[in-house]
Amino acid sequence: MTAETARTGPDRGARRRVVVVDDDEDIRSSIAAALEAEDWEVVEAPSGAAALAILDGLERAVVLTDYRMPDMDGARLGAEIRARHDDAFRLVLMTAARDVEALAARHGFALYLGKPFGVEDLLAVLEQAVRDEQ
Amino acid sequence: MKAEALSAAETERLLAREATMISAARPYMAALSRAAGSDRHAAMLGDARGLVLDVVGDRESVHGPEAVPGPGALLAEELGGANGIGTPLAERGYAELVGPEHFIGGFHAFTCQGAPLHDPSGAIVGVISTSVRRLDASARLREILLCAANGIEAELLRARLEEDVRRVLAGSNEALARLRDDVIQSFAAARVRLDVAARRAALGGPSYTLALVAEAQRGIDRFRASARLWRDLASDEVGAPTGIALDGTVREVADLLRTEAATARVELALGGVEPVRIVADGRTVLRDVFAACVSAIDAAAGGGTVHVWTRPDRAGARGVVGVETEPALGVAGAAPRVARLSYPLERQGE
Repeated sequence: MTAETARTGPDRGARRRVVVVDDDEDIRSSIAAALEAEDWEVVEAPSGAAALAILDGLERAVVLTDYRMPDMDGARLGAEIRARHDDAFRLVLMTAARDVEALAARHGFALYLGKPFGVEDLLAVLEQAVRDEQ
Repeated sequence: MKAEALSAAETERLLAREATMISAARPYMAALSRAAGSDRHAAMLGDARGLVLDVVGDRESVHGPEAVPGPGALLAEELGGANGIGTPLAERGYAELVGPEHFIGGFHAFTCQGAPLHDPSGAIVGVISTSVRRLDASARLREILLCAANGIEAELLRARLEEDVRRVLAGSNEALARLRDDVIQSFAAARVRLDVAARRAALGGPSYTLALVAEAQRGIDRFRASARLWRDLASDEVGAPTGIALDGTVREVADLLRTEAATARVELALGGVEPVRIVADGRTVLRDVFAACVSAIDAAAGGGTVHVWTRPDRAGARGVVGVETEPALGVAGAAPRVARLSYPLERQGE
């Protein structure tokens, strides 16, 4: 994990952690601003490959991934994470596609967010992911 | 607070008619309400005539004995005097009213700020206002209100894209449908930032709040510009020829196709884009350049390069766009190819 690919807050023990995977820096930084204010630890990954490298060093996290990305799309990233880590990480798909629900179901994501979304929607889906984890 | 109002049945019909705008405005009304913090307040949405469509605020302001006028109330300035809904409509721009500047006595303890809302064609379709029970108006609430107004207008534009995309998909233009997702993407960060700004505004920290609002505003501006281009691409209208910058069109298309190219692992290179002015229908040229670039990206997928250039032809009569496909190495049967589009050059004085 490098300073370029990841930004984490100070270690506060059991803080909830989310890995935000999106090739759009603007999206990652806006989500980070929203979640850090709510005491989430946010790790940013600009690609699926960067996310996989980050997850190798983590035990628990929610993974919030974009669908349409170069090199590895969100569907493939989800499949890779499940293959490597079973169900250790809760996955949330975010996409601007019109058929978000069908897309999420097709690729095995129980949780999803249609872009654009507000902070309330974001927090609600992440809280749901944490509840599912427990 | 007294105001003239529609009957219950008329109000129901009004709200059904304006359901799209009410739904588009809801998250921004919530953000305005959050930004007001613990002050007594109400965020209000009105239609183009000054009829109240929706109100969000603290319990006392919305449901108390001195509640602000609710859905169906008519606050047009000619009937309700100066107020945060009617005055921005009458002045066709942002308006701020402090205390006794309001005509309705019930608003005398409030500062009201309002801004009209425009549809994608620029016509005024409504108004949004925020009323806070304090007389020292906050500059950051004003910035959030103006950004929220732009956000609602962007939502109305997004709703229009939804209608357009159905037609595009019916024509099997999948590249254009995917591009719509990329256009929406540019709006997503702005929406989150405005929400964060509203939350911060309630807690103080004005400089960070204003920086977030400014970033959100830039995102909304980018979305509006790319959505406008997308609608031109999706349209089949042909207009009269006018003078246009061919190089500008090429840069706009390349910018729109950035994600499409990256997803297909294609480098989209703009080497040799010279300033060239042509006379043509702008939308037709946009669609031509877009189609040529999408076809080239398909052919170069998986590691190839697409070079796009513009220049006048040798005779100095036409402006030419070249779209050169360089397929990825090792792709069986793939060969470099060049597509050229040309249009009459604009003559000086045209």
